[in-house]
Amino acid sequence: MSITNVITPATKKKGCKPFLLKVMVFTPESGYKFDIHVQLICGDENEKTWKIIFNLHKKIDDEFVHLVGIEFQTGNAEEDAAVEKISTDGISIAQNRIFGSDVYESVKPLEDGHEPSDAELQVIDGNIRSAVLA
Amino acid sequence: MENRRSGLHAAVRIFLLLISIGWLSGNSSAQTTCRDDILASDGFSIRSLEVKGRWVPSLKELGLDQFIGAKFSPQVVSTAQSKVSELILNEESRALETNLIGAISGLHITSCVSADEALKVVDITIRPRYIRLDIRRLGNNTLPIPRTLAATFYKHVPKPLLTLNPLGTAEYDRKYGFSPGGRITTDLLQLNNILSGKNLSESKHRLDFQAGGKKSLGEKFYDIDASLRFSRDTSVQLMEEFSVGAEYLTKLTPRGEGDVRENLVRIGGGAEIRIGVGSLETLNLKANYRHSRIDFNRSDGSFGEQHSENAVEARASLDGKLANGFARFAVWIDAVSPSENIGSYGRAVAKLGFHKEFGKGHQTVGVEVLLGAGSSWGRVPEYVRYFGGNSGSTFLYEDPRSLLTDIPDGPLIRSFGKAQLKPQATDVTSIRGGTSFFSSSVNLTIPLPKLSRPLVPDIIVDLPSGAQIPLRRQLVNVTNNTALSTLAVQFEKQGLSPEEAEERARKIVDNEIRPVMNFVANKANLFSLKPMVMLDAASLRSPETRGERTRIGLGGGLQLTIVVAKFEIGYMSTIRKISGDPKGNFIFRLAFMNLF
Repeated sequence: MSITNVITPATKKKGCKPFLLKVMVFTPESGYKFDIHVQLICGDENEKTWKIIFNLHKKIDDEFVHLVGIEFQTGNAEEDAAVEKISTDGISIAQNRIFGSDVYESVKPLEDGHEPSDAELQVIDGNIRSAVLA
Repeated sequence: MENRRSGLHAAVRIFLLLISIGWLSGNSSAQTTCRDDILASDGFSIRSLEVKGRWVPSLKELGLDQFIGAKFSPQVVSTAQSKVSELILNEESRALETNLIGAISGLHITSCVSADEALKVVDITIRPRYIRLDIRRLGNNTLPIPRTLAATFYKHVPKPLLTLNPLGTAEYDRKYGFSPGGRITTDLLQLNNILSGKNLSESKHRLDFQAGGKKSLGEKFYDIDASLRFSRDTSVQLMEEFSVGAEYLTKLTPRGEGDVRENLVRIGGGAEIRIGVGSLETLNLKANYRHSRIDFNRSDGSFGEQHSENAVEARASLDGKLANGFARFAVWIDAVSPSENIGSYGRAVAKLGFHKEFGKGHQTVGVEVLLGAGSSWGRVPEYVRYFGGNSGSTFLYEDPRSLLTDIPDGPLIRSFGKAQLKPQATDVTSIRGGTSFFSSSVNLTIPLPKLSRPLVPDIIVDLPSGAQIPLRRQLVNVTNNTALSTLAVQFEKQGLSPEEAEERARKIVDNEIRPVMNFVANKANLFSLKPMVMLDAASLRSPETRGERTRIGLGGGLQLTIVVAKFEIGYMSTIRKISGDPKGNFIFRLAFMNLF
């Protein structure tokens, strides 16, 4: 009599190793600086999400003060791939141009501390998306 | 003899202690298994959360204390990473980077989650790694100096440490004896900001007060100095900085058969010029007026000289790259007029040093070559004649501003005590120092694979696409490529075409940033113990001697580099000598640096 054993391979749970990486510091004009971080975030069940963090600093009383922090979360595979590339290769010239101009210009008005309107957020979101995909 | 023995014992004890610390730190992280597969639904709770770094504040100050005992979710790790990043970047301040430590930086934060399945608890470690590249002194990046990637939480560094930026040293030499020493440096213009815990202001001006020295514990020798230096960071084209300053120095040092007591005041100015052309990086120039009082006495009382002197000093050093290594050339020139009418004289010394790490990865063979030559003219008094021997200074490793002070004593030959090598005399009763010299030294350090640990660990970064990248390559790519794009965009803003801007940016990155990043990421060690082979040759000449014999010293030892300390210990034997020369010399040198 033959015995057949059914062997079920143990299901390997998906892993996620979060990290955060500073990828850029830039001085767009005198008295202002911004830095950009890329972060791989792990969700409750290890869902992986990419995030771009844009921090704007202004020189006040001879000291740089962090005024605005913007978080951009990727929403599709194309953006995931683009941010992943930033995390391994850094910021390209085309991306650098847009972060230093359009993204910076759209974030700068928030330095007075006002709550951003939906329209403002939409512009910032669109500009960061353009920079990421450039 | 008793003093000499106790000095050696102290050196050996320090050496063994540092090896133990290095060994422990090298093995402490290898025992934890990091898990990346624990989900929120697995029902683990958080037993501990630790942030690795230097001067880490409490979890409460980090805003992470609420996670202890809470239910674990991978999101907690990301949140903790964000909070740590915010704090480091807020505390760091670009002004701090460029003013206090003169560096640009990169930050990478990873984590480790270890689990106790039985207790259903996890321990989380957040590990921020912070790369600092020195933008002023190229050699600080490419030489095997102590360094760490552990991020610093500046606001929690003890105020005296942050304010005074101390450097500790200890040396041993058969003539000078065991001599601990130290140095403090502070920018008086930033003192208020540092003491009140504020970020440093972005000032182009500095007023540096520096004081330091060493004292032999077994002998009478000492060397103490204090200086005040005002500098302005010009950052215009070539000129990086110019400075004016004053220095007071008092020292008692051995010289041949006697010793020299010297008190001097020095007033002058200098400039740091960033050349950035080809292999040439930085030129430092200094010119000073010096007034000194010198008292020289032979130990047997048979001869003595006491004089005041007025001198004009010119100094220059040039740093650069040579065959992918670090090279430094320096010249010291003195034109001196003693107050008493004994005739003026001059001296000039030149040194050329080169360091390169050969081999791939962090198991590299280090080669250091040092050539020196000196000459003098006029009526050269006995007290300024050249005597060779061991030197407390490390030519390639010193800050050019400290290097370009006193003219070297003479040729470097470490099998002799400090300033103990004399020219070959035809008559031993008339031994005098040399008026010219030549020397060459070679240091070879050989890696021991099991006794080293790379600065950037062998971590593989897993990406959502399924791709993997070594942490080293990630850091190198991101730094180099972002630097390239940032420079190119800046050049475009200055009016260059995109093609011209990219070409110019690429040249700068390839010449200045890429080699430095490659060294730090791929070759630098956090901890290493390397056997060392030393070979010195020195020749001294004077008008009174003929047929001078070149003396040669050969020896071996160990070089230990561990996080913030560098230690060298060894013995050099004089293998080519003349009658009366010492058989050899034990040497050791310890330096603590980069304490925050």
